Amino acid sequence: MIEFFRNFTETIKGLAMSSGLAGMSWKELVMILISFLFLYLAIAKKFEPLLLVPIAFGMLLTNLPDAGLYHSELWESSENYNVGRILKEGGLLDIIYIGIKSGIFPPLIFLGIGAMSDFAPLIANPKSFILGAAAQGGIFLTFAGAALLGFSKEECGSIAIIGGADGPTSIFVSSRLLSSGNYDISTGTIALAAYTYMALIPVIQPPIMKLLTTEKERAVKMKQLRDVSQREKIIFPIAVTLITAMIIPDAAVLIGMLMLGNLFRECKVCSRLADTASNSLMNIITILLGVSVGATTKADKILNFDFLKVILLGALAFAIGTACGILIGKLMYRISGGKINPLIGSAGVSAVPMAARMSEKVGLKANPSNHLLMHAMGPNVAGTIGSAVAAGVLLQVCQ
Amino acid sequence: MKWYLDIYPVASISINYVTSVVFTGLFVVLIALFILIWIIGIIGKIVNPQKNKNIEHIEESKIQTLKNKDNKESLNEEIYIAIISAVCSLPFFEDDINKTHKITVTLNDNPHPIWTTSGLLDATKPFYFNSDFKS
Repeated sequence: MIEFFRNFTETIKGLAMSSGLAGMSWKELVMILISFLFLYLAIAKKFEPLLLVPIAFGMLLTNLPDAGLYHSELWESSENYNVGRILKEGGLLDIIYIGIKSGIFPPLIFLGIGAMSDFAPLIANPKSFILGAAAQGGIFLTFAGAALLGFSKEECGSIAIIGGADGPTSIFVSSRLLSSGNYDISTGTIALAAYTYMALIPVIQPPIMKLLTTEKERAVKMKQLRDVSQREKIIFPIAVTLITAMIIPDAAVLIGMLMLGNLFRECKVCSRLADTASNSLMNIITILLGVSVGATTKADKILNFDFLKVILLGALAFAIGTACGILIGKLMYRISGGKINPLIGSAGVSAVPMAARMSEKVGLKANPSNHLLMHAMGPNVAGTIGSAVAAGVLLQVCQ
Repeated sequence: MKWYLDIYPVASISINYVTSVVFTGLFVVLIALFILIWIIGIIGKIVNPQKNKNIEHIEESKIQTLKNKDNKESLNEEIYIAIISAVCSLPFFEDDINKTHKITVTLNDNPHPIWTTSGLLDATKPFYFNSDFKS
């Protein structure tokens, strides 16, 4: 009988010691609580739920002690990760993460975005490109800020791209720049900061917009945009791909896929492909991308001083990008004799379509009959192209 | 400043490199997008010259028609605002954005499309709305 109880207690003790609770560190507990917070923000507050739910759940899964779904050590130690070893020794999330590390998922997301986007407001008003370019100022000024805080040039490029307010671009650039060698930050850190700030656009942008514009400027009604023919819409993606790929070859992947998706949509003879790219494929890649990005947020990699610095620099990048767009919008307001509302400049930070909706909302408060959404969509999609171009520049100068 | 320099090893990248990245980056992005503006402007003029003139003409005639019709500019302005407000208060600002929205306002027999656009919302599905303003 005594032998039985001894065996029983030994077994229970062994089970308890091998359970997740025994192996859990305080850092993992904190990350699990953060994942709960993100799930709450996504589900209850509807902050970017399509992305935040998979990211938060990936964060939860990867921080479960001894679950073995993701192994950060498989990606860190070697100059070039070993796919064979990952397939043999890695968990499910390791295998999915190959799609990010090899740079496949972000371009496919761009294919879907292209198939969903209408570039007509940009074609009707090509000056929108100036605002889309101005808002990229946040990227390059943050690069200098990151260098000042002691990051390496690859880390600086990865942090700076957060200012593009474009999640897939941030993941693409950081996965390329941080692919070899040991760095203090990871792609997961960058993605987490980028998506957090994208979700917080309604909080970050309006105060800057109000601070930098007068009531009179915010109330400016803009002239209706001209109609755009289908022929123009078909030529646009082909021309943009050719021009940007010639100037910055490293941007060809993102721009090429974005424009291919848009050509599917506009040529009207590939409706099935456009439908797949904008629905099924987009949804599948969003799930895989979100979960695997969440998986990279291992507690020991995230909860450190460098992550705080990335969060700080990300906020700075966003704020500077918004401010640059508005300031150039003010300049265009002056040059055009008050015909351009500077609020549409803030939409140049990409983040389609939330940034454009912020321009609309703030404009409506100044003048209840003033609808800026169409005008803001121009700089907004120009910002997507601009951030992809900036990504190409960063890849060229930082690699 | 010394305490700051003690904490952060600024020397990891040279200041010349940082300056060159910032200025080169901004310059290249601006040049690339300026070329795009130029090319797209040319394409617009080659592909669609007559249509642009028509749009200008429609806008002018619309204003004239509205002014001449009842000689009540304020009323017409109210109608115009009401149409735009109706378009923009569609569920497209709410959760129900996965539908195609179309508004047609008929004031007379001649169709004058004044607002046609589509775009991306909440990264789900494209939206489209069109108000045919007939005056």
